[in-house]
Amino acid sequence: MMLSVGDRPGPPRSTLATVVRCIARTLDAEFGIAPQRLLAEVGIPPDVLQDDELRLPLPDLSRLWRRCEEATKEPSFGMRVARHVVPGDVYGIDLALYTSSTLEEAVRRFAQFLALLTTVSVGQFRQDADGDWHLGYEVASECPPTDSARDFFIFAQIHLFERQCHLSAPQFLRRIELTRTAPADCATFQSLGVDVVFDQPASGMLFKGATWQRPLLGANPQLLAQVEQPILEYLARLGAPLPLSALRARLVDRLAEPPSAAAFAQRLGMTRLQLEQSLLDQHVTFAQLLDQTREIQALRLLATPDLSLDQVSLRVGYRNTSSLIRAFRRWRGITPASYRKQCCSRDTKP
Amino acid sequence: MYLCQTNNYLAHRERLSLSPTAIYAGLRLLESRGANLAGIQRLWGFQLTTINQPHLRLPAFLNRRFWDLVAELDEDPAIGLAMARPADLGQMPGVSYLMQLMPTRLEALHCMQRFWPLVAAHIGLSLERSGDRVHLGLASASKLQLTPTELDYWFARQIRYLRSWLCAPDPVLEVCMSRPAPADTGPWDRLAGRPVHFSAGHNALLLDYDALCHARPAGPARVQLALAESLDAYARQTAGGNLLEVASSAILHGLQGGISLEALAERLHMTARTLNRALLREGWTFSGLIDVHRRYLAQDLLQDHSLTVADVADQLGYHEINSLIRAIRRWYGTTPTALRGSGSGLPADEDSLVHSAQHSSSES
Repeated sequence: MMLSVGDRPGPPRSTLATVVRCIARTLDAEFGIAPQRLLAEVGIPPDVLQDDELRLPLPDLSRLWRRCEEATKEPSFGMRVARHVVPGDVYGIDLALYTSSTLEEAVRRFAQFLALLTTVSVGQFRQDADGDWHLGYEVASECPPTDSARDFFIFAQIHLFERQCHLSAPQFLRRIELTRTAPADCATFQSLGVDVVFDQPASGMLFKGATWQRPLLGANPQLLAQVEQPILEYLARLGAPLPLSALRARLVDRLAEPPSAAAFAQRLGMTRLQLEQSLLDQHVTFAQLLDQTREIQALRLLATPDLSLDQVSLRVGYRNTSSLIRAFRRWRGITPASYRKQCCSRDTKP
Repeated sequence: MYLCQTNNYLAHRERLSLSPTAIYAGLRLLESRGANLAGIQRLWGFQLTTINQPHLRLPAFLNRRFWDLVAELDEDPAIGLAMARPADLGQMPGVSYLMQLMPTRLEALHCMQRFWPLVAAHIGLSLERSGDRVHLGLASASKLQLTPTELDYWFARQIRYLRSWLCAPDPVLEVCMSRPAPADTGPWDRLAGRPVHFSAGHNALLLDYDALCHARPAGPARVQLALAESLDAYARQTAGGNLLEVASSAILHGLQGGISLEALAERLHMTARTLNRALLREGWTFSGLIDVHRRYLAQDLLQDHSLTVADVADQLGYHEINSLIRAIRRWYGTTPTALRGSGSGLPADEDSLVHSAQHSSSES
C-alpha cells in the first residue's frame, strides 16, 4: 500500500520514499545487485524511484530492509546506505541545516522537520549534567523498524550534520546509541571515530556541549526562509506540526501589512482550520504567533542603530511609536529606547 | 552549436562584482592551515565579519586583492585547487544546491549558466556543444584578469562538482588553462585525471556530452522553485550595488577617458565631499581606488604583447608614459619590461617593447 501526501497521518507511520533511492544506489554500486528485482520481490513498484514526494508505510520498508540484509549478508548495510544520501533525497532539509546560524539550531531544525522524512520516530532533547545535549528517538509504532533501518536513520543524519556544518563527527559527538545487539564486527560501527554503544532502549546521540553552539559559516536567514517554504507546505499537507520558528520566519517580512490567518494558511497550501489546529496543538493562537514575530523582529531592528523608532514601529507593523512602546513594555517591561541603550552599551564595551 | 549564452541578470553582468560566498570555503581552508584571519583582514582591507551578510557583493578589485593575498600568504602553489575542496551547498547563493537537484549534469550546467551573473559576474561563462563534446569556458569579463590561483579555484570547483555524482560516468575529457605550467604539475594532473594543457590561450573544460546526459531522479520540483525564487529575490536585492562596487565599476570603465571624483559624485547625485566621506567609511579614498585599479590593470595589460607600454599608459589614463614607469616602480619595484616578463609564461619581446616605449615617449 502506498500513501500519498494528502492522506490522513496518524497510525500508519510513513517514511519519505526517497530512502528507496538510497537503498537502490547502494545495492547497485556496492553490491552489484540490480535493485529492480529486489523491489519487485517485496512488492514496491519501480516508479517509486522517480517520485520525490511519495511516502511508504513502515511495513513495506521493513520488508525491503530485511530482504536487503538477506541478499547482501552485510550487518552494517544500513550504515552503507547512509553514505548514499544525495541532496535531492531530503527535500531541501540539508540546505536548511547548512543555512542555520549554529550547530544547535541546525540539529533542532532537523528534529522539527523530521516528520517530513519519517513519522516513525520523534526526537527529544535533554541536557545532561556535564552540559552535553542528548537527542533520543522514541519509536512511535508498535512494530519497530529493522536494525538496518535504524542504523541508516542515525548514520544518515550524522553525515548530514557533518557535511552541512563542516565538522567531523568526533568534533561534535561524544556517543552514538544504537538499539541493535552488538555485532561481531564492532569496528565498522566505530569507523566514524565516535564511541558507539549497543543494546540501548532507544536510538540516539550525545552532542558535545563544547561545540553545541558553534556558529556556522553558511548562516543565511534569507535563503533559509526561502527553502523552508516547500518544507512547511509539505508538513502542512502531511498534517504534521508546523515548527513555530519556521512560521515566524515566514511572517517576518510581512509584518508591515500582516496577512490574515486565512491568507497565511493559503500561502502554506493549507486551510485556515488546518493552520489553527496545528497552532492549537502547540498551544498558541495565530495572534500570539504574530505578536511573537513582532517582538523578535523589534529586538532585532532595535539592535541596528541607524533605524529610528518610527521606522522600527512601521516595520514591525505598528502605526506609531506609542503602540510600539506599549507592546514593548508588555514584552520586556522596559521601553524600546532603554533596550536600545542597553544593546549599544554592551556592544561598545571592550 | 550554442546551447545557451549567459543572458540573464543584465544588471549584474555589467557590474563586475561577485557573491563572496565563493570565497567562504577558501577562507575556512586558510584558517585550517593556520592562517591568521585578523592578518588577512588587515592586508585585504575588508571586514571579514561582514562577508557573511547575505546581500553583500564583492567588487572585482577586492576579489583580485584577495587572490593575490592568498598566493602571497600560502606557500603551496596549488592552494587554489585545495581551496575548492570543501563542498558547500549554500555556495553561490544557493546555485550549488539547485544544481544538485537537476536530473542531469548538462541541465545543472545550464542552471549554473543561467544564474552565473549572480555568482561571479566578473567572469564570463560560456557553454558550447560541438558534436559529442561540450566546451565550458571561463574568461574575465573585464580588463582585470583572473589570477592563476583564482582560475585554479574555479576549475577545481567545476571538476569536483562534475565528479560529485555518485555512480555516474566521468565527463571530463581535457582541461585547457591559460596560466603558465607550474613547476610541479602533479596536483593539477591528479585533480583532472585527464590531459591538462597549460599556457593554452583560453580557459576551458572539454566535457563528454553523453556522460553529461547521464540521468538520475531530479530533486523535488517545489524545492527547485523555492530556490529559483530565492535567487530572483537575491538579484533584486543586490541590483543596485553598494557604493564601493559602483565606484570601482566606474573607475574600471572610465580610467582611459579620465574620471574624476566630481564627475562620479554628480552621477551618483551627491556632492564630492559626501562621496569621499562615504568611501572613507568603507576604508578607501577616491585616489586610493584609482591607484589600486591602475596597479592591477598595469600588471594585466602588460601581459598582452599586442599592447605597447604607451598603449598601456593610455588605457590607464596617464598622459605621460613616465608617470606609468614611476608608478610601476612604486608598486612593484621594477620596470614595465621586467613586469611584462615576470607575470606570464610567455617570453617578453624586450626589443620591441623598449623600442615602442622610447618611440612613444619621444612623441609625448
